[in-house]
Amino acid sequence: MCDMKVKKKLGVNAKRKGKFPLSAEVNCYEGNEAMEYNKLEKSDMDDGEEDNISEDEDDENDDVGPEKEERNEGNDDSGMDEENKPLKRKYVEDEKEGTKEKRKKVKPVDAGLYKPPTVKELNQLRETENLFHSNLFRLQIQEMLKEVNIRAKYRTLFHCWMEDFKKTLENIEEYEDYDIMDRNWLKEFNLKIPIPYLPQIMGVFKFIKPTSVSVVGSFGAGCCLGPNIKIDFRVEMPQICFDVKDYLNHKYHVKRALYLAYIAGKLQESELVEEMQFSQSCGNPLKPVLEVKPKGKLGKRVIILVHLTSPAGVFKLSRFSPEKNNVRPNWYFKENERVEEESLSPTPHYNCSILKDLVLAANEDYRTNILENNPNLKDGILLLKVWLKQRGLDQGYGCFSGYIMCMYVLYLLQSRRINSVMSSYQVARNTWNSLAKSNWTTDGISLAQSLPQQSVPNFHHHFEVVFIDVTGSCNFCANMSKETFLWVKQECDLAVKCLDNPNINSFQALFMTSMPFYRQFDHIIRVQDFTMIKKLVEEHSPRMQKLDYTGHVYPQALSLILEVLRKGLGQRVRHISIVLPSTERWQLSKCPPMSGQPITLGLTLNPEFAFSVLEKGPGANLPEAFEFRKFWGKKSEVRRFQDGSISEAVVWNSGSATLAQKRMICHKIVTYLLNEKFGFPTENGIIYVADQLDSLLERSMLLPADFEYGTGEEATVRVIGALDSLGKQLRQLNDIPLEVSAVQGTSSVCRYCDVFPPLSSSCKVPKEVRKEGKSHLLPTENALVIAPRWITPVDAIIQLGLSGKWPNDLCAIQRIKAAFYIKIAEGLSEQFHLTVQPYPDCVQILKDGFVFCLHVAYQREISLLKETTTPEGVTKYRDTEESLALEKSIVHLPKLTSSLHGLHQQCSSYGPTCCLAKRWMSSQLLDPHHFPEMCIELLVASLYLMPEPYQPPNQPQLGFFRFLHLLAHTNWQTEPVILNLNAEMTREDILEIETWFHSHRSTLPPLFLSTPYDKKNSIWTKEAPSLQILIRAAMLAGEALRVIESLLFSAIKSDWKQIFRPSLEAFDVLIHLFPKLNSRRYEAVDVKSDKSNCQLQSYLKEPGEKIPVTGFNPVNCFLAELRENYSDYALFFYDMYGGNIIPVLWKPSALLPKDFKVSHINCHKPSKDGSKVELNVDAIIDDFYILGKGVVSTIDVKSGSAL
Amino acid sequence: MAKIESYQGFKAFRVKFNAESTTQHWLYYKEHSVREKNASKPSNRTLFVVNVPPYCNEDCFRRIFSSCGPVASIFFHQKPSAGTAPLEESHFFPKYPRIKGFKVAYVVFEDNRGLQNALKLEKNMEPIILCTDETPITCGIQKWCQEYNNRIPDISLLQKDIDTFMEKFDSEASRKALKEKEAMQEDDEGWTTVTKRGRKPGFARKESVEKKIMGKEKLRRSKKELQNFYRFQIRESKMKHLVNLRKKFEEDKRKLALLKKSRRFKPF
Repeated sequence: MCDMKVKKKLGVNAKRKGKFPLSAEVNCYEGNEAMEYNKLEKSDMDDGEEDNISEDEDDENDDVGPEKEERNEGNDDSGMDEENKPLKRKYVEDEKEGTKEKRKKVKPVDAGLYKPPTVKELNQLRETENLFHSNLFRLQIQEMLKEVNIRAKYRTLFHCWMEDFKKTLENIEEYEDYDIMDRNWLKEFNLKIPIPYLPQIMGVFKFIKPTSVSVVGSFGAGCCLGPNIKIDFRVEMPQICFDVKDYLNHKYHVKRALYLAYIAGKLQESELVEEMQFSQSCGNPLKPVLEVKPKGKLGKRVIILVHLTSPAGVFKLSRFSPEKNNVRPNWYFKENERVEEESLSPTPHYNCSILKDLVLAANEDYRTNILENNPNLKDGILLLKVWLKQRGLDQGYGCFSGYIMCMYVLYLLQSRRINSVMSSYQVARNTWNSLAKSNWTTDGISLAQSLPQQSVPNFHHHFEVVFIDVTGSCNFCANMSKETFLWVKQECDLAVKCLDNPNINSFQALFMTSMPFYRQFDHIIRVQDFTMIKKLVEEHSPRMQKLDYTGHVYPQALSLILEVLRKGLGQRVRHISIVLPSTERWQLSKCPPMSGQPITLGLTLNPEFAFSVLEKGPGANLPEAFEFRKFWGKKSEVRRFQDGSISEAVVWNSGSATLAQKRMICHKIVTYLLNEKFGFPTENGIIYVADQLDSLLERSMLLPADFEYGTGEEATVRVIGALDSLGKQLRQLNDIPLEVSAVQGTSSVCRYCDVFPPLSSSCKVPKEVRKEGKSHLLPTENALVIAPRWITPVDAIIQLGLSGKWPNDLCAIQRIKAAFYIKIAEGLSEQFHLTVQPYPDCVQILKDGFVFCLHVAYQREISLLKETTTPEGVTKYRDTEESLALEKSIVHLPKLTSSLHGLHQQCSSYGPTCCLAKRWMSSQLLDPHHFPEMCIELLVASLYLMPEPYQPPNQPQLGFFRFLHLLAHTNWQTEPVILNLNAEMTREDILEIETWFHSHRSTLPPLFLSTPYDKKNSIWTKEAPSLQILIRAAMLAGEALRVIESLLFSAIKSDWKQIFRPSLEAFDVLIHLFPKLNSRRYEAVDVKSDKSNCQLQSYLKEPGEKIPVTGFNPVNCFLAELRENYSDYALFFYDMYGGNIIPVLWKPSALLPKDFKVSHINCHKPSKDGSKVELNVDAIIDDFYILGKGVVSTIDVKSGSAL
Repeated sequence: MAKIESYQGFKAFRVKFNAESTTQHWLYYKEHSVREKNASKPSNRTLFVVNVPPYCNEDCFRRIFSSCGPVASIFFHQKPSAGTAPLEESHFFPKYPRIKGFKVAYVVFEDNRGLQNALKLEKNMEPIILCTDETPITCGIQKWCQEYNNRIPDISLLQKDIDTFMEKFDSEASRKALKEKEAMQEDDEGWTTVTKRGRKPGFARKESVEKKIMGKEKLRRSKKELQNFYRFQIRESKMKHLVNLRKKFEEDKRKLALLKKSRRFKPF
């Protein structure tokens, strides 16, 4: 390689004649540093020139890689080479004469891979490892930046437009001396003044041409976030517009608004403008801006924001330091008493709203100066902005705007924590890292070079969050509340963790996933009623605040509510987040919106404390107790605790509260406190989104007698408890040949994932529907009119002690197992007096009112099923259908069950989330046949194991929303789901699975799920879901999300159940069933509660009790039969939780006429002309009646379908 | 009529479930003739019927075809097959899969005349009724209740079934063991058979064992080679590293192309 480079440099023809004449030339570079060589290479080497390089392999190997060593030894080698390899050279020459293409054909792939590297390439490869997270990350960043950058077309369009726009602004005719209260001229323009609060002031407004007009903000700095962009336009009002004392009492604000209105009025006639609206800068109503949509193509992507500023010299900056007062109370409150200026209460937020205009230019200069020559920095800032935007942090009042982020990056640059050679990835990462460690609420930062010592604490005194600008006088984060900053901080922390987690696609999580608030927070509180908010502020906001915010209600109400909630919720929440309100816009001719923004807060629960029913306060005799009592009011009571202490305490629920109730304790607290402190009505005062979907998991009838049902967790715990004690009894059995070593549950109830866990109760089945067997109740065979109540059998696996005496024959093993069942049954009934019934394949046990179904697991059976012998007599082990099924049930299922059980122990919302997901899936008629339960459970588990960019949900409803999103927006074709349960897989394992997935994609099932126990086969998704079902599920989930979004803050009593009602439009045939013959009818979504059947009787062991009818549902039998007979021609759908309709969809391929073939003749009849056969649809529909005799009430055949 | 002939020699007749049914299934039939002979399906007396609805049972077929002549036996299969259906040894432990869905039937008549009569069935005939008072077909809820009830075994019968099987199995096993032992003895010419048992068993003839042996052999051979000794080897290994890096890069590029295809780079 070396020689070649040189040769090119020297202008020698690139065609190579031989190696050695050139090696002399190489030698002249020999002693030089590699650097120089690199320079050569950089200038010459391009990817396009590879054709010269792809020599045959040996040849390359000589050239490759270790260039330096090569050259150092070059002298000696070259001589030797000449003698040693003449033959080879000849060969090379011969080859050379032959066509190059020929060789390329032989090794098309290797040619690219084995070509000698260029230094550029080497550098790039190395750089990626060091400077970026990974190759993929780097490439993804590049691609994304391409997407968010503004296209050159729009840039040029904008520059043309801008020139004209500037001219227009500069040519607006001047007008002087309107009285400030005179609004007649506004009427001429058909305008309203764009600020909402209009105090009476005196003065003169004059419009003088702006002193300068320029583009500022991110577009000016070159870090603007596309593809739809907003360009900030700064119009500087001349100094003569203002009087000396205009900073006082809103005069400046009114003049600014009038100036803006005047410009807007004049622009109305301009041809450059398509449309105009007023808006607010960062949601601050005192600071209106003008949104201009340019005419023509530009308007599609670009919106211009016209900001008004004033030159720095208009007022002294010190006038606006946070402790100063610039709004006089006697003017604002219309009082007459005069107070000395020093004793007036400060108006920091008011000051800041003027100050921002004054310091804008200085900060802007600072920013553009630094960013100009730092493309990496710009890219880094862009990344951070994308990240902010996805989290919804960068808009609205008190936001953490892109501007603040940008300034923070500059701050880090200034303090040398970032330098200009860092890659964009490093910039982002370092910024997150430092932000996560900083705390601007106590240790504010400043961009100003020299700052008086006292000023930062002074700022802290007046603002919650402090980040001081270049001039040292203005706080960027003046309107930001502490909560918002902490939220950003926490997100930064998560982002760094996310990058460090090798097992997830952090790029997707950080930049590509939008995080709407309803998928972020466990609980959402919303105060929507504006009169209530207004009343709250009037009655409770301190005078000082009223003066400072002058009529802006939102921040005052927010800080009042936050203060109470912070204290009231305390440790129960990890974080209270403010969902930033969206910026308001209004037509020029309309008044600015007077109604304040609704207040929306999100709670992230802390599962450690959030569910405790008791708030323990200080000891009753301590002085703090008084304060505690004052805060909690009548709820506070003195209690004596078990450790003997007597303390103040607040009790929210009785000790026997269900988990569902405990999850809602925060709701109780919030409602109580807002009512107590601010008089918000307890009913309908606030909207609280958290448990709307719980009703889907509750039972409306057949409730247990001895405990509260809630959302089923308590019932599940009882089942697991019964299974454990059964396991103990089994281990104590004396009289069986092998001792029982372990009992493991495998039913979904053992993973907390059963939507309706079995309930313990004595089974009183009416006489007419049963007869009695020896140990069983049996359904009567003739004319069953009501199906007995559904009882789910709980499956479990018995592991027996080791023994070498098992036979080597499958049939014999089967018999031995059956003999065990008989023995176990005998033992249990003798030793423990349980009611039992052995079957050939399991043993049924009635224990504590639950029916258990135990199976003996013998691992060797799997390998016996796999065993085949070749004709040569070699034994081979190959998976067969039976072996896989057995492996699934006795190896994988118990392992997964214990892992998922563990997951639920860690995150108590896992189980109910699963239940909601299952319930929804089934309610959309995708029963386990189409979407297996385990598949749903594992998908939900993925939300807990890889929650990024979120944190694991604590509220089932939140988990369910995320599940829907996962279902609707994941491309299963390219994304495997890899569940690292118990962190059992290493990074290498996961990588291997990923590569396996990509290389074998076409042979793998549409949905690929991998767990530590089943890495590459995706056994749970092999048979189902099919691609069609996945697509349908995605569509349904997307639709459900849309409905949820519309329901969130609509009327308080909105019908959340609607997402659980299926649409029946798409189906060809509807089979209606008799509800009474459906054993699970009372589980339906819209079940009518039947009072006579409301409560179950609690279980009491009686002598001579019988095992009830278990696992018997005529509808399931019918469905199984339908699928067995007609699955080749139709798909059957069903809601397993009490559905009364079986919709049927014909397979399109089955409806086509076919040629007569014995193998495909089933269910076909001759077509009319007799030459082909077609599906006998009528007869099939009649068969539905025949097979479903007694269950089917009517069959609806939709017109236009099939025939 | 001619059209029916075109169905590869099949003729058709229609059946309906009961007298009130309005729709019919079409059953196609012909004389059973295949190359493989089987005594239970003699070629000149057997009728081959396809597209038999799942609820048809032996009784009902016997009734239908006894009108053509005395019926000797009837076999149902999932798919056409020349042999007889395997007989289940035990009621409790079915060894063979149940027939599911539509099936085929072989009707064996006592003599050839029955077959000839049966071949005269025509599609234009009145549909034949399957379920009559004489041969009722249970389906629907009644059938499922029966199935549920029949599933519960009598324990003593179950135990008996197990015992008889195990007895047979044990005696079979001991017979086998004896045979094996005999084989291990030296025979007349001085040969012994090596089995898995005994003091010096041969290695198990398993795939895994063979692989292991081959693997060991390979390892032994590769140990003889010197690694990273010659310069070309070092060069090669360096190249290999580079190639790996490149491969990874290419792989990532490919992933990216896939992502790009699905337009995953628009954050908003």
